[in-house]
Amino acid sequence: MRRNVTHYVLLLAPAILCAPLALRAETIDRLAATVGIHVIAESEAIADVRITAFIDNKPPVINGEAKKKSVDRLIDQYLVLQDAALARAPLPTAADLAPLVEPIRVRYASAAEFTSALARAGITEEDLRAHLLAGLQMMRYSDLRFRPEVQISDQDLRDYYGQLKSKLGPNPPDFDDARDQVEGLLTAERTLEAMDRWLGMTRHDTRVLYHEEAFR
Amino acid sequence: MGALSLGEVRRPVLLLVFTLFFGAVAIAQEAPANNPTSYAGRPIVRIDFDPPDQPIPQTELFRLLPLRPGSVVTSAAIRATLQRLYETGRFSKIAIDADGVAEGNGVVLKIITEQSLFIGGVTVEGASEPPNENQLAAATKLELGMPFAGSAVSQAVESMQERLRANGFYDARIQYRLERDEATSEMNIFFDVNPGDRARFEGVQVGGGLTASINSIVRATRWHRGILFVPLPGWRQVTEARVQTGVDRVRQNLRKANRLLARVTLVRLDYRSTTNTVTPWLDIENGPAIDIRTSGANVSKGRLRQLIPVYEERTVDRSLLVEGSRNLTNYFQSQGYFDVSVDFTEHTEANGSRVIDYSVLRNARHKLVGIEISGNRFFDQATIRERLSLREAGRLRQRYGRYSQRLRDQDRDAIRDLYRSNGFRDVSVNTFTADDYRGRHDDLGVRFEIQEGPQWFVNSVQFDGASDDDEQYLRGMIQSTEGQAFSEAGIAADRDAILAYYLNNGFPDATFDWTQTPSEQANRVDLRFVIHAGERRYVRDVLVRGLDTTKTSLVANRLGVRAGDPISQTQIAQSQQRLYDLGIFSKVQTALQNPDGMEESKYVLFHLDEASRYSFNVGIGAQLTRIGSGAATFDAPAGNAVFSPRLSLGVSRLNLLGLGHTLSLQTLASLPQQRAIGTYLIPQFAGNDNLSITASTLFDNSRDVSTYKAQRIEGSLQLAQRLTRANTLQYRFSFRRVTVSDLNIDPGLVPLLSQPDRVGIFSMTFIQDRRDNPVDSRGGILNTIDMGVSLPQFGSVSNYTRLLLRNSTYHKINRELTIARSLQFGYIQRLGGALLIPLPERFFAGGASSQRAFPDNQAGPRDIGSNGNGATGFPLGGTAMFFHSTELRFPLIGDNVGGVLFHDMGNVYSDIRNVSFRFRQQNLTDFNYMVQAAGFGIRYKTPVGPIRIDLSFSPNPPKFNGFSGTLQDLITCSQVRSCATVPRSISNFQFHFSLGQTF
Repeated sequence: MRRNVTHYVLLLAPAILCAPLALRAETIDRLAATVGIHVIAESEAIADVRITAFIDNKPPVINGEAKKKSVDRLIDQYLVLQDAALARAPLPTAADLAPLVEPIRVRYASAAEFTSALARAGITEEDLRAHLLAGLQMMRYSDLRFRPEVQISDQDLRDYYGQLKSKLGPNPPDFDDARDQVEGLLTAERTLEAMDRWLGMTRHDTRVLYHEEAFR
Repeated sequence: MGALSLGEVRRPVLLLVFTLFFGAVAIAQEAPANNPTSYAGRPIVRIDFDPPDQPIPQTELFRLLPLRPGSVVTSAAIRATLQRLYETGRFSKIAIDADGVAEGNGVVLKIITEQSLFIGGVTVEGASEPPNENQLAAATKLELGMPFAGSAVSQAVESMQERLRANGFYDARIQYRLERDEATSEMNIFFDVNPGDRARFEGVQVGGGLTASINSIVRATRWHRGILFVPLPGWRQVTEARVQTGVDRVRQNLRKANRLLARVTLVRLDYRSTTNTVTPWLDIENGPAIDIRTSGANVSKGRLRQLIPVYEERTVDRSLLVEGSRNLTNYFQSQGYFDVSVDFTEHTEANGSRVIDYSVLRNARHKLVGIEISGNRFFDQATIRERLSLREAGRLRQRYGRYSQRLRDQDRDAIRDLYRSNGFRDVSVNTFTADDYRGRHDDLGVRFEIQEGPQWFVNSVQFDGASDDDEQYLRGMIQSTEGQAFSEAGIAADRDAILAYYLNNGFPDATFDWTQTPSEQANRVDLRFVIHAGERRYVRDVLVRGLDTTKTSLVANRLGVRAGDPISQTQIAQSQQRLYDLGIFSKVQTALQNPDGMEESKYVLFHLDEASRYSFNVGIGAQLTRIGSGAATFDAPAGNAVFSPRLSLGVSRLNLLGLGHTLSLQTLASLPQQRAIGTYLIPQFAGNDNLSITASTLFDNSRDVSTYKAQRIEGSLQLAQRLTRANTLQYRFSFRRVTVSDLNIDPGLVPLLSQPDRVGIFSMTFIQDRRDNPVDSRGGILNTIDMGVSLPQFGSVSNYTRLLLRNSTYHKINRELTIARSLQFGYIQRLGGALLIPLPERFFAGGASSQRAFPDNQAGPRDIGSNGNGATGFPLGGTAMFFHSTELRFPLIGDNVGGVLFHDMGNVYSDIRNVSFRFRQQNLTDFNYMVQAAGFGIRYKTPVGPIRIDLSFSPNPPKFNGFSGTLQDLITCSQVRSCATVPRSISNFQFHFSLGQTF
């Protein structure tokens, strides 16, 4: 009899311990960051992690660090696209997305398989398209907004070519032959640098708050 | 082990199933927690808030939530809920929990919040001025109604410490206390400052390339004690202003020595705690001497400082030198040298000083004699000329006119703007300047040729986004209505009016856009006004803070803002003004709590600082006046001119009993007058802006009328009612007792006129003031009607009615000339009681503010003795008066000195029946005729009104019999009826000096 009681207690213990957990409500979303009055929800950060992993064809790793990284990207994206909206800049639309979606879609044998992969990743095609469109718009606007301020001298190109040369294999092309490509690469790099500087200043002037409980 | 029964078997299995089930749930809990999609599509059974009491009223809170009980959970709705709640500004943290164990498939959502706090008020106490408490509060940068962050308080303390150190308080201690009001989300912050002792200067350390001695620097800073040039032992206390002015003085000294590029920098203030002293370190670089001079024309140093920006900017570069050249050109052109050319050269002399030489070639001096305007059909010449800065040459002022190319271009633009603002969008204005105008050498003429083009009109106005009621109201308000001239200036005015309308009706985010399209009719446009009103905001409640002694009801009655009203900035500003008008608050701050938050209703905050309860004033001065009575002889019926010191003292107790009432005592002592007046003022009586009550008592001992000395004790109660901005009514009851003594009149009249007088009088005054500037009017009208009745029922001995009318009008003839005129009429009708109207109740007039043919109070009837005997010629006042003055006012020298040509006519009469316009005095006992005066005056503008000097000439001043001798002589000769008379008269010329325009 004593053995039976012990047996029941052992069986009941996990149930008793787990019961409060079962009755406790689940937090389904919360503030992760705020930019002025704009909210970036924790669920947005998680979705961003999932979509990025899906695009990279990798399994998602959802932890505090990944969420923080996503939130930072979403903050930058919000600041840039806000500026674009204020400037009424012409931006890409959903119709321009095909070249970005197609390479992902072709990884799967059929549309059904693509849809099923999306479902497994916990995202929808709409989420994916929205993510890609925002990225495309950010790129286009950064090009419009920051490229004109990039000034590159001939010496800059030669220096940059010097840095690249070692990475171009044993027979790198001549500077003159590679000049256009070098100029394109350096311009893109400088454009990104200019955008980073702008983002730094804008973040300084904007009230950006991180809500740490979302990253624990 | 025995066999287990079914029941025994079942129980462990059930427990296992139970355990596994809840275990699975528990495990599920540890899976990625934030996944609204796991609840997607499930119906919301209930939405709870944690804590249940939220900073937004529950109805408003649920109105703004995108989620509703009965709707289904979606990721978008959850995120929108977070966004919507956060943008209210009321929450610093928000999380949403879901409980899926609710009945059925439903979900109970719980929104967990942490509320934000807002600055309710900043109070600083204990400051030792400077800096005062308001300055320290401003240094905190904690703004009323803004979000509160704990870190801001420590920053505020640091800022205050910095301000205190700048003012010599190096050992100041600041403690603060936070008071949190959960109900209103306010954080009130109290700073208690113990400034300690203020440090003193001790020496000055100077670095850099200065060549002057330290002593001269110390003298320049005035940081060492001293009176004028006499140094006294010790150093002055440190204040921020003293440090700054000291540095500025050093800089000025160097500038005076032509060191225009000198750099004087306060490097630091070295503080020694052992002695509580501060040594400023100055870095002084002399720089080269800069000598700015002109050749070809003399320009004073002072004028050069005004015209050459190098002095102001303390740097020399080409753009500043060119600007100086341009300024010099404009200056010489304004002097008539319209062909002037100015150039400059720079060189360095052997001694190292830089010389900037402006060479001026003035050429011939011209005179602008003609300004022609042609092509104008819509506006007449006068309308256009009003807007011109160019001036044709005058005889007295601007003898060469006023002309420069800059002014001419400005005038061209002004004409163009005038036309454009009236629908002439294609107007063009060309200017031509002609030398040797009309064949006269060096005369100049300017012609403005206007091509008006067609006038454009508004064909139709369409409102989008406004409600029918709003549209109807706005159509009555805007300028750009159908058929009116179309201009962008008009649209801009309409935009301001429309946005102000929305702003004052609770729509702070309203926007206005407009478009125009050409109409089918020629020169007409169709307008479309697009209004986005945005969300309407309401007053959640009005929070008043900072009251210490003032009654809450006093403030509440002045607030035009009520809970539930749409937020109106105008109402808030008017409430603020009403509170300031009480005169008991030194500062009235207003703000919306959480101004940037997007919530339906907001708290309106009033933070009040009560002013010091006592105020004192002391005035010391002197006056040159004529006083009468008490004189040993009767030789001066017009009184004796005396120089008298004048001392005034006053004390006021503000906000008595916390009701906003003011009790004050003002005293004045001088030879002609000693006065004490106590006043109790109730402003905004019964919360009405337009009513005020004043109760006053007066003791007055005066000798301003030469005939007698009067002592007056009076009490009065007055209700003032402002009917409109221009019109005011005053209802007044006064009771006074006046005793006259030292009568300089025929002894036979003394028993009648020396009786103490008691008057109870009820009077009403209507004031209509539509003057453009009460101190120095150029347009408008001032009317006053004063009526009073003195009856035995009011306790009067003398019973009479009294009427006093005044009408003044001001007419602007042109930009420089003003005609002003004023009529005064007074009448006293005896009703009964004493046989004669007592002297102090009669009209005494004449002098600087009524009739300038007379010295002060010398107009009207005089003592002619009894039966031709014992006449003293002293004024006796009258029961009727009539005065009319006309003035032509014009500028004389520059902007501050003006001139006046005037004509005064009128007199005080013995009775209304004797009022006469007769020019000639019939005999020496006739005073009932119209005295005339004409003259010239000079006015010098000051901030308190013009200083006035008038010289008048009267062709018909009164002549009368007087008496020469003492009072005893008069009594003696009166008894035997053998008094010898002496012919006397008022001088034809009178000189008046006073403050303010005549009327």
